Amino acid sequence: MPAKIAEVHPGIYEIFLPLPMRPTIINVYLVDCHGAWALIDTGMNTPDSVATLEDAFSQVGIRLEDLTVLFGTHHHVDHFGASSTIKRRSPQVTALLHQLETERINRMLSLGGPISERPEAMEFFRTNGFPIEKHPPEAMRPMWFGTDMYSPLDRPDRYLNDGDVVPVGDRQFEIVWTPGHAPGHCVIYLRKEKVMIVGDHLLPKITPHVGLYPSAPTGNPLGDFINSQMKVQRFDVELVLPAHGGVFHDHRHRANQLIEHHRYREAEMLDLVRRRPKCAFEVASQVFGDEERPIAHVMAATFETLAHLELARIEGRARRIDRDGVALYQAV
Amino acid sequence: MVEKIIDLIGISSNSIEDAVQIALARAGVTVKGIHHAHVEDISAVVEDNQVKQWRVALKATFLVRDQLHE
Repeated sequence: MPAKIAEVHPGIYEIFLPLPMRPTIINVYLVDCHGAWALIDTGMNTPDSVATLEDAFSQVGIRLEDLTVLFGTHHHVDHFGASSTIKRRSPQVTALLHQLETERINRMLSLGGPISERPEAMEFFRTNGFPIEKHPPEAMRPMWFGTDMYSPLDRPDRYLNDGDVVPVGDRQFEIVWTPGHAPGHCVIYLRKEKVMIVGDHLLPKITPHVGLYPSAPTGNPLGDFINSQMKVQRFDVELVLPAHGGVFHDHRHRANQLIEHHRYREAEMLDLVRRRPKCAFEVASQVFGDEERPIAHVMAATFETLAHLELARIEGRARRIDRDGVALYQAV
Repeated sequence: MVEKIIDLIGISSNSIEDAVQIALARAGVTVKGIHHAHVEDISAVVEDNQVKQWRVALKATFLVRDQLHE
């Protein structure tokens, strides 16, 4: 498939790769470092996506084999799914990812069997009131799960850490750890160019999904996400390069919008649990649900609702009541 | 100086005040600087002789700020 690419800043190419799901496109970025090349994210490991990536490389006059460094912003299928293919084709490439993302990859790759045989996952669904008897979790697994569409490297050449500065050719890639959407999500900052490659942390039109999951049921991902939105505002940025949607300029404006969005969502959820406690599934069904919505979306909404309710609980705006094995939340 | 007014309906299962607050919180995602809200109408959805939802219609006012090209 002929690739669509755009030079969004001198020597920085945005490459549009196809996805077999929504959103239907992911943007990865190829950076000419004058004598070396860096790629940020890989797309999915589908023949269509890999061929499109190769065509994009050829349009700028290089081959996959010429790549020097591969940065992964996080472990998700559309971001790091083709990393093992790229490494196989370009063994010399140095692949970089945060350690927490590597742990998630290894956990994902080990979850081959049916969810019904994972007691901790079944417990998670029951605790949060999700009707697994009516909607078997197996039927809601994403189409790529357990296929070679997700072929991430199970170990990068080096871990990314907050504050690292990675020199590639004549450019400096500064790593900013932005947990929230994923625990080891990183954005990549080019200080001299005032460019920030933001992965899924700052999307211009849609809000990044933040949730608690059967395979990662604890923590405060939404609190982390909001802190990370404040963190990126400390950087001087003129061009924001997101993984989905168009490039934009005002990262502070969008970061504040995302913070406001989650404040509003929390207010809406707490309103529903002020008079009587409810489980995450019931709250999600009322906030996000309608009869038209596929149950898989309601499941994702339940994960996100749970992240909201847990943030409210941790910060003292809600309490959790365990009743007959179900976790209920009530505003305080 | 120009101010703009937008119409909102806030919905709460809890109270009239919460319905107002939810409407303003949602408007604040995309509109900056709302400084005044005028409640126009209050109604309730009733089920089994109980209020199920408060619906508050209000006008929210904010100052129009021009963004100058730098």
